[in-house]
Amino acid sequence: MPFREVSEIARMLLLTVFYCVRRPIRWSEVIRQGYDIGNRSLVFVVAVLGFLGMILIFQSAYQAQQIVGDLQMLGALFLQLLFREFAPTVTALMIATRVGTGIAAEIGSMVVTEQVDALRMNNADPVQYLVVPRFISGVAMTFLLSTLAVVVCFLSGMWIASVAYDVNPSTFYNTSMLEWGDFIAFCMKATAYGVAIPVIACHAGLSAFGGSEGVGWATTKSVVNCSLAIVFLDFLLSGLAFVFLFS
Amino acid sequence: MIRFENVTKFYGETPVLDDVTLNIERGNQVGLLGPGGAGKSLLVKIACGLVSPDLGTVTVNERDLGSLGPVELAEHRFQIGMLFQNYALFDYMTVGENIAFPLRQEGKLDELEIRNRVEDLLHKVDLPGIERNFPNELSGGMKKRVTFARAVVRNPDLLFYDDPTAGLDPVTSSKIFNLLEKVREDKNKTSIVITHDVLGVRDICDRFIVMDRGRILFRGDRQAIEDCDIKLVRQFWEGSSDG
Amino acid sequence: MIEFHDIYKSFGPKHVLRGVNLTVHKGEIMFIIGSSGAGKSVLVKHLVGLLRPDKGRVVLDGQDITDLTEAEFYPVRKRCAMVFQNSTLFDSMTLLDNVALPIRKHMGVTMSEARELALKKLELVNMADEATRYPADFGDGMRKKVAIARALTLEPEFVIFDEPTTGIDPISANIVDRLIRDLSDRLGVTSIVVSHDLRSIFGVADRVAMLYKGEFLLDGPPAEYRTTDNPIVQQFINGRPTGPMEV
Repeated sequence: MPFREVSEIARMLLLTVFYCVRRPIRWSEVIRQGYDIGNRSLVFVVAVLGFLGMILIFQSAYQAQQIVGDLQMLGALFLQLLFREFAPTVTALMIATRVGTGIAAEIGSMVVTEQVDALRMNNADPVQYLVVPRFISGVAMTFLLSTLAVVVCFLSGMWIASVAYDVNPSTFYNTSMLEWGDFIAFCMKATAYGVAIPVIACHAGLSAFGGSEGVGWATTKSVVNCSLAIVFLDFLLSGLAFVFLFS
Repeated sequence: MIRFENVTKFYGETPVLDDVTLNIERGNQVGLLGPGGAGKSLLVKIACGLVSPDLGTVTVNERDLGSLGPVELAEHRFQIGMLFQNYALFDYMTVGENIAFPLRQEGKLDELEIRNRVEDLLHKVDLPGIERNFPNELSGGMKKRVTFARAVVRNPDLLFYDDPTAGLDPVTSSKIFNLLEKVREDKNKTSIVITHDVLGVRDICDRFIVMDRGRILFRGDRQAIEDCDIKLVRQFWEGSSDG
Repeated sequence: MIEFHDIYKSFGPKHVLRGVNLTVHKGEIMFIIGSSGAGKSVLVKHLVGLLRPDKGRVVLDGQDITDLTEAEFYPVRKRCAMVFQNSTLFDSMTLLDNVALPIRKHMGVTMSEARELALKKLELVNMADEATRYPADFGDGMRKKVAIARALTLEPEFVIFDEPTTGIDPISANIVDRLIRDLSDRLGVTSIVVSHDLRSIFGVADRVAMLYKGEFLLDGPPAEYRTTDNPIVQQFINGRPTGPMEV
């Protein structure tokens, strides 16, 4: 992302927050968008994280067996990994591909069919009217879906551990490794991604131009920018967490 | 009413509007003609304050658009009725909600009055009882009439119609031009009609402007355009490509 | 010769074509007119197999093509080219390359051979002198001419034009009209033009058929449309806002 784009996105974020605080919010639209996000990504997130939980546990248990030969702490470490890193980040990447593109395409086609101009002609700021509801529901839904991701991923891991390695579920379910820092890291990441995805996707949509090819361009731009932002935020927040939370 | 002074706009290196100076008087309906890419839509969008020019000043109602802040500019836009080329109907709203949108944004009327106004307008455009339909259930001609209804719902004094009859059959086209004609009967209204349909606008415009490649080629009343001997203007008026 | 025999076509509850009969002779310029949504495009799409009739037969030069398989339609589509309403050119390529690209794709020749053939196609539409320039340098009429040149790639006997002059200015429309006339006169191409542009109808058509409520109201030379006493046809031809016609 070149510098100009980053500053545009930052400006849009500030404006969005400003409108969230200042103006009336269309709660019905927030709920509609939230339902839409959930509807679009629930099955996708559950399926992907369910399988990833099984794959991860199968592979790591295999390796752990060869090194230490003891799978007692497998579940505890897995739970910590899920909170700190895995669940929010993978969920965010899923949401970016499934929901972010949808937002970019929807708003992009509103731009090329002049609907955004029609909003502006009617004293409705597109940021207030289109971005704010998607922003609020995006933050909330990313949080909810990340939480769900922890549960699904952990349960599927628990199942494969008991089937493939004879680890008793009651042994696998072990919260001894969790500390408050893990929850804080989880919340920070989920919130940061939830803020970034809708704003970046809306920005991509609003910068669409021309005809239907402009919509395609906007959706591609949305995925690329969202993925970059997620990875960058992950890096940044993980670093901060290690310095301030886990040291 | 609307004054463009030395307005220039670039897209990349090429000027899409090249030093346009133009004055449109109150109470006139102006036909804006010209080939695709001449800058007609852009000129209108600049007058709306949707696009700002790179050079030059635009004055609407004695107010210099360049000097307005975002809030004042939004208010300026809100005073204009605009019929968009691509319909620009909000596709997640019903027809009724679309037409009522400007009124709801204004927030002056109560729901009952809004509903009555919408019903009344749908009667006027010959589409009674479609409030609950969604735009994608309508044909092109119906959508154009709904867009028209939304543009005039607040009874604005300034109206821009961007290609109101593109892609419509002659009967539907003449229905639309009839609607424009009715609006024009109110002598306080100023309007610009962008169109390729020279036959359709001949009789409903007070003045005509012909643009080509970002420049004003001709401006004048009907007599003047009929007497004009600029080749492109002649061809446009007569719809021929000879010579 | 193209024959449509008693074609019926419905989309869900919408009966678009209700027993359409039409014969188009070799070398003729046939206009199919009617209000938006009357089923003009639907009818012509039956000829190239993009749509299949619910009932009735389509016959091309004595061969019944109604029930051909997709593969069997390939040679038919070679003979019948279609110029779509939104046939756009690639802005980043010269006119020559715009025409050469499909030639290379369809005929499997090298790019230089394709360019040679493309130049011949551009000659047909009198655009050979401009071959090395870019689409942005031209108006709608010229661009449409190049799009038509591209449709002539496989030397079709029949060309279907879907609203060729809709949305373009009158001068450009006239350029396109004259090209259609010219192709018919010089190459003996049979043209079917879907249109509601009154100027073109009286300018270039040999014969005009008006579709209304799924049937043809009138089929005859343009002059007949001026003298008919059918009130619906009269209203359409004169573009009167009020009358018996339902739109």
